[in-house]
Amino acid sequence: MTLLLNTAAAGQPGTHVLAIGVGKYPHLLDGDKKLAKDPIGLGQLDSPPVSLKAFLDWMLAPAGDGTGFSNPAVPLASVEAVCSSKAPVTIDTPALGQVALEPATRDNIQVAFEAWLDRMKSHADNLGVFYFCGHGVMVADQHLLAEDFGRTAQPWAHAFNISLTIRAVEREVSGAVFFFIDSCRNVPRGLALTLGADPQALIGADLKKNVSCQHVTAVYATGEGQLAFAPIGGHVSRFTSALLRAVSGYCGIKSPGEPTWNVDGDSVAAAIRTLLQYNEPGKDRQVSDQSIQGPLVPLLRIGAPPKVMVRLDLAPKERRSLYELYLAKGANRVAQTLVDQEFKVDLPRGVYEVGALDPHGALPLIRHEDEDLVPPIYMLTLKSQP
Amino acid sequence: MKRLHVSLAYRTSDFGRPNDPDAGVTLPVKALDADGTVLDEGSASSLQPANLDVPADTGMAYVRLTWPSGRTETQRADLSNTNEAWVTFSDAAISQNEWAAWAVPKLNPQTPLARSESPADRRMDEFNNVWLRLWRFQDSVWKREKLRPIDQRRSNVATQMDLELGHAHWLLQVGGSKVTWRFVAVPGGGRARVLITPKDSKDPRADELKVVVTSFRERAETLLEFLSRDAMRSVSTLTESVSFARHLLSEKFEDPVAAVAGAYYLLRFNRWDSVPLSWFENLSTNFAWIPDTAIVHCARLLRSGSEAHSKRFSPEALLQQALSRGWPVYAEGVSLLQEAASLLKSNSAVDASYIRRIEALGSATAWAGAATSFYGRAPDAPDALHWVGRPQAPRRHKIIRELVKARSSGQVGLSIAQTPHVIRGGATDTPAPRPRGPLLQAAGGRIVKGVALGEDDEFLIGNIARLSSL
Repeated sequence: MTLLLNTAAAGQPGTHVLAIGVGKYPHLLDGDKKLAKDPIGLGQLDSPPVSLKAFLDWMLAPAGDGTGFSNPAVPLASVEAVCSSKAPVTIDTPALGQVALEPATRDNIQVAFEAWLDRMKSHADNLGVFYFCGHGVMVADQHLLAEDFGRTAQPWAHAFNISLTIRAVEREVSGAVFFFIDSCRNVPRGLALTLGADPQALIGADLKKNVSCQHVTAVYATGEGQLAFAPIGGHVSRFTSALLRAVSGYCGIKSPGEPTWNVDGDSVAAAIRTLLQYNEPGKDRQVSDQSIQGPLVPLLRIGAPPKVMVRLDLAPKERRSLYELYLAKGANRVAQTLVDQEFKVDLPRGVYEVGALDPHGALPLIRHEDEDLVPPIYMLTLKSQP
Repeated sequence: MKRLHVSLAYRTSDFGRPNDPDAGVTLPVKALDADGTVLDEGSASSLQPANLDVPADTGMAYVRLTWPSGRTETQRADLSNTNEAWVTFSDAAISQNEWAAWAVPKLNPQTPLARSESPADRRMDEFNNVWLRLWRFQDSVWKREKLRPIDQRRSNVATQMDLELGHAHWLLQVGGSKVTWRFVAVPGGGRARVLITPKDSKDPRADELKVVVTSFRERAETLLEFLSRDAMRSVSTLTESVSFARHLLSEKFEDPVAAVAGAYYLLRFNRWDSVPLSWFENLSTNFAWIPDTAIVHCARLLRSGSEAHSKRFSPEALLQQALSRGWPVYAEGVSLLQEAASLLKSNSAVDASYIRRIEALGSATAWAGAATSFYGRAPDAPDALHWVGRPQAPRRHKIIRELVKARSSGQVGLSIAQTPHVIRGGATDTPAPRPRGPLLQAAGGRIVKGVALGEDDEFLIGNIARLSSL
């Protein structure tokens, strides 16, 4: 409903983005409208508007230095978004200035989706990005809840079946589509069934048509039956944080014959999973899930090699301050000398020599040749033998 | 150009098909420069090295091997003064126990099998009372069969058994007082090997025990392991081209299980139209004992649109046919079943029971790599509820109130789909059945053909003794 960018050129392939954030659910717990007959234990969410804004800001940022969307072969052509939040969400756009987003009701989502799908169909090599952040439930398929969920006696009329939507899109477009679904998938299936949960897809799957889509990647914030999390207090969710970190220069492959470092479904899904694992080592573990169909297609094409978050440590810890921890590749060398803490540094991916040396020469050298630093994270604890 | 010859010094099983060029362990390898740019990639096997070409000005190259688990091993190759070099990756040190080495690439990199044991490792002794049952799908019913390992091994962190399985669909059931009851599909049609080891992952979904299965179809199984993890780049490298999948599929009469793997690859990579439709038809028509054959045929028809449908072969009929043959052997088949069920349900007003059965399977899915695995008490009734305990005294591991409510209110729950019958195995390999109490019947035991399921000796993991030679 709210078109933030539309620079599509006739006859040229482009990337078309649809982003949906739902934090305000007036008919769920703590909402400001009549409570749904069964709110299924769900209430208001602080994170989706913030996460959506972060996602859109990244998408609309000028490409470069690992920020912003970059794919010269399929440049950004359109960005459409809807968002439901207690406070209006505005986005800074390059052409239109500040734009307030319209609410993510089921109707608005439907209209935005159909417009996005039409744009996707305008060229065989178009690339699509679909982002959702809000409540989700897992029945046999995954269902996502719009703002007006629970408004009527047919609560599921205000949700949509994303699994079936993906299968339908595969029959409608020719290019590649990436779905990033930041929602829980944990509501017990039995509960959902008692409500007669069977929402419609955003478009029906026409079985007369063959699967025409070149590639589909769907990355889910969590595995089936599991929870997705966000820090308390209205911060970007864990999944969206990991997604934005991954696409900001922390993943990518340069394949034979390719001039650029490409980020595809395989590499971005793997990077998100690793970042979630590293960023949230506590009790509420969140493991993302993905489904990839068709030969890999680059989502991003980046000129610079991806970065690796290096976390180099030494055990036993009491010896850390006696050593210089270093990484070296050719003439490039970075080091942390005589400091009693983990050595944290970002480095371009590649094969490095990693080690620890005693500047005073008393302790034995620790040296690992040919350490393959693969994005997004490299962690190693060197062992100093007694 | 300069050339790298990359070999795998990995043990090859003695139990693959004779003269099978795909019997050796096969893994994807890449040649990289110091910046991590991929110079070339290919698949190396224990029977045939990969030949990777790199630019003529390459001085130092790095060769990276990738396991299905995601773990990598990198070696350098100095090409400064030569036009070719040889690199060999060995499995000599990947496991403490030679017999368990085959499973390590399929397990989490942190698996205790791959390192020296530490006091923190969970040991198999904790699981001595975990029980195992073997089920065979025959004549539209699941029959329990006596578990008769033809070889068995055990260490502190793993147990392994070999089974000789006929042309049928087989499930291994595992359960215990702290081990959720679940089923793992084991390919039939020859010798199969099952390795069980304590969990090696912090994934909240991980079960207490990991189960890894092989039927000694190395290349096809490695392909399926990568597919089950959505490691598409590795799959592409492993197959090198669609021709490998075509080759697997074309060999269906020699090895239909491997042909199924080829079909799964073609479907996943949207290359299903690179082989004639008749290949899928032949697969599903001639190998009814493998449920996956009807599944891939059904998925092929759904992908190609209704023009390819016929009176003889329709997606609905094939889906029902697949379910009449049991559950898919491979997890890839579960995904395709769900896809087919979702599509057909959305295009039909009929609330078919076979759709509900597939939804029940989807809701009960567990993880066993490439093999199908699901929770439940009986093989015909995948169950989202988690059950633990002895077979005669099941209890809920996790109480999911809403699921209980769904059942007691008479609503259609995903976990109570109507399914084929279960009967006890043949009289030749089982003791005489004894009547069982009401608790057992309530827990899923059924009286079929007038025979009550009996309480009998269970096969316990503790039965597998440590061998002195280990």
